[in-house]
Amino acid sequence: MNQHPESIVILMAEDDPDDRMLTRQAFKDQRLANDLRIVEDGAELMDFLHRRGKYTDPDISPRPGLILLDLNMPKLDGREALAQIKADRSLRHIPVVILTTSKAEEDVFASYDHGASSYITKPVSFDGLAEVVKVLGKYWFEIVELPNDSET
Amino acid sequence: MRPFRNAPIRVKLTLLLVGVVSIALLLSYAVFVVNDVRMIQEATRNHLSALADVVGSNTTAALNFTNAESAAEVLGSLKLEPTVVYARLYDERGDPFAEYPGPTGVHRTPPPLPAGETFLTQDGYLHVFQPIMQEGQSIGTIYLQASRAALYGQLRQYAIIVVAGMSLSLAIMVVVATRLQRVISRPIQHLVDAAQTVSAKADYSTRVMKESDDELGVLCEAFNSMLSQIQQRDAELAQHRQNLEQLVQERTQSLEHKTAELEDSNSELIRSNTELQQFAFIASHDLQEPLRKVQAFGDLLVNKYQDKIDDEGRDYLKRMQTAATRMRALIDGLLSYSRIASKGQPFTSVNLHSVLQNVLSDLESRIEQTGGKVECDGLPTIEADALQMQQLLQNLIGNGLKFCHPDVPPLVTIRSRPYRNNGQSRRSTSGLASEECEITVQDNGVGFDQQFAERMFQPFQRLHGRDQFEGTGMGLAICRKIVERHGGRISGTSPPGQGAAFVITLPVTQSFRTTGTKS
Repeated sequence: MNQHPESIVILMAEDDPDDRMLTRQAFKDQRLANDLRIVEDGAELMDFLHRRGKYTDPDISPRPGLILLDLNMPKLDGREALAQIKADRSLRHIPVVILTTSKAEEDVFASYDHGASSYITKPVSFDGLAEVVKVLGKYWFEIVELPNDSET
Repeated sequence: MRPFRNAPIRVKLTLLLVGVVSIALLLSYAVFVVNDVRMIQEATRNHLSALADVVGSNTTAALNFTNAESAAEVLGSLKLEPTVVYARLYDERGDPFAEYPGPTGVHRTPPPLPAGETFLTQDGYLHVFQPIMQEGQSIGTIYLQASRAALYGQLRQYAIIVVAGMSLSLAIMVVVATRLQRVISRPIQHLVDAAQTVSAKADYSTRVMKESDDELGVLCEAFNSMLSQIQQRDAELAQHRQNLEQLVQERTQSLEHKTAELEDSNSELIRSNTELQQFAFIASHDLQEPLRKVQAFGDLLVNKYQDKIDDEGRDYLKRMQTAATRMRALIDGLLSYSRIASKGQPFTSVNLHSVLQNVLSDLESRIEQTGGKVECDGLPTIEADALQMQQLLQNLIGNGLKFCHPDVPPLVTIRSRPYRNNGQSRRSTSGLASEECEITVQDNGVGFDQQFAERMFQPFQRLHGRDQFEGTGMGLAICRKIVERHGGRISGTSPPGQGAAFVITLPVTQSFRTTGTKS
């Protein structure tokens, strides 16, 4: 049974405050009603997913239906976070979309190799970003079926 | 002397002394004995002659009266002379007249009667024939046979004396000679001992004690001085060897030091080169981040506040965004440039003609827009990085399409031919002939001033104003870096009015090169 699309939580891991702001703005502009949660690095992302540290309360750390992951982040970077998520039986079903500035071939290959669902290079312009958010929303919440998470 | 050839010198000397003295003694003894024997014989003869005379005269009467008995009586008086063993009296005619049988009475046969006075030595006896004279006339002959016992006794005595004398002399000689020979043999023995010590222990500090100033003393001195010289030379040699060893050690150390320094600086160079590439890559990568923000927020400004900004403000915004776009292109160029070495792919067999088809399809819209044409009569297959070959051809053909005369449609011609390198290329360190291919990309565009033929391959070098031709000035720098990574060469020529021609020379195989693969 499909969940109500708008109830799906999107978790974004992004260390750049401007990008966080721009992405929020793009979500707003595209009228995506989904709950967008943001963490600032890979370590915080893993804390959120494992409900550790400041994320012990399930109310502030709901299971995300989609993860938007930046690759270059302090502490634990996106590559390692992706590997940990895909190595964890309870997390690996969550689709991870890589959203990064890197165009490097090896990053693209390594991301898919580690189980990323999509790889998107951050658009240069805001209009481009808005378009990406629009298409992402349509694709993940309207076209494809996402697995039901037993915990939510 | 053969048995003594290997005897020690002291034995030889002793024997020599004893031998010489013995010979001298023997000779003098011999002379003495021979002389004595002669004198004894003379005396005996005289004695016998006198005796014969006496006995002869005593028998004169007996002969005159032919009285044999009286004659025998006279002869019998000879018993007082023990040496006379036999006597006979002959008459005038030479017939035996009377005889004396001697103390033993043994019959003896005298030799035949000679004429006149005769002495004979026969069968170990002395024989004397003496005529008996009377008034100048021979009336008979007396014959005496005497033993030589006296002589033999004398000789025996002499022999005892000689043997005793010689034995005593020899004993004394041996003692004396043993002492005398030391004068010569001891220094020689010292020399021998010293020589043996030197040869056995190689101890050149050994010295021989000099005992005299004679030739042996000189020999000892010469030997000692020889040893001194050897010792000195030995010391000098040892010093030289030590110096040499020290020198070798110093050189080895300095060589090791320099090798280590070289290795250090080499690894330092490799490290800094890698760092520089990493730096360029990371820096240009990180530079994109703020730029993206400038562009994104510029977009937001244009989108959301279009109505609130006047035309002048919008113009400023547009210029800002154009600058950001240009900056992005520059950073992209730098990123591509730094990725050639750091992110290159391993060399594989690449069909350059297929690569060219990809490039042409990428450039399709540009070619259509400009009304241009790209001609090629075929390209070879070489060992290369396919993506970089694509970038190389794209940049060069792109340049040909871009730098065209405003009213002349661009025409880019690509030709290739095998190029035989006779091992003179700086890349071909093996000195062996290696196969290369030469690719020429010729256009009919504006060309360039030949004085910039080298400079235009440097990063960010532009030869035209931005209002004239777009670009970052990275295209040819990237081309050169790609070609150099492949061990090839690139150069550009532009005869006035004939467009530009870029000549690339690339090795057909990369197997002889060890570099070029991704680190």
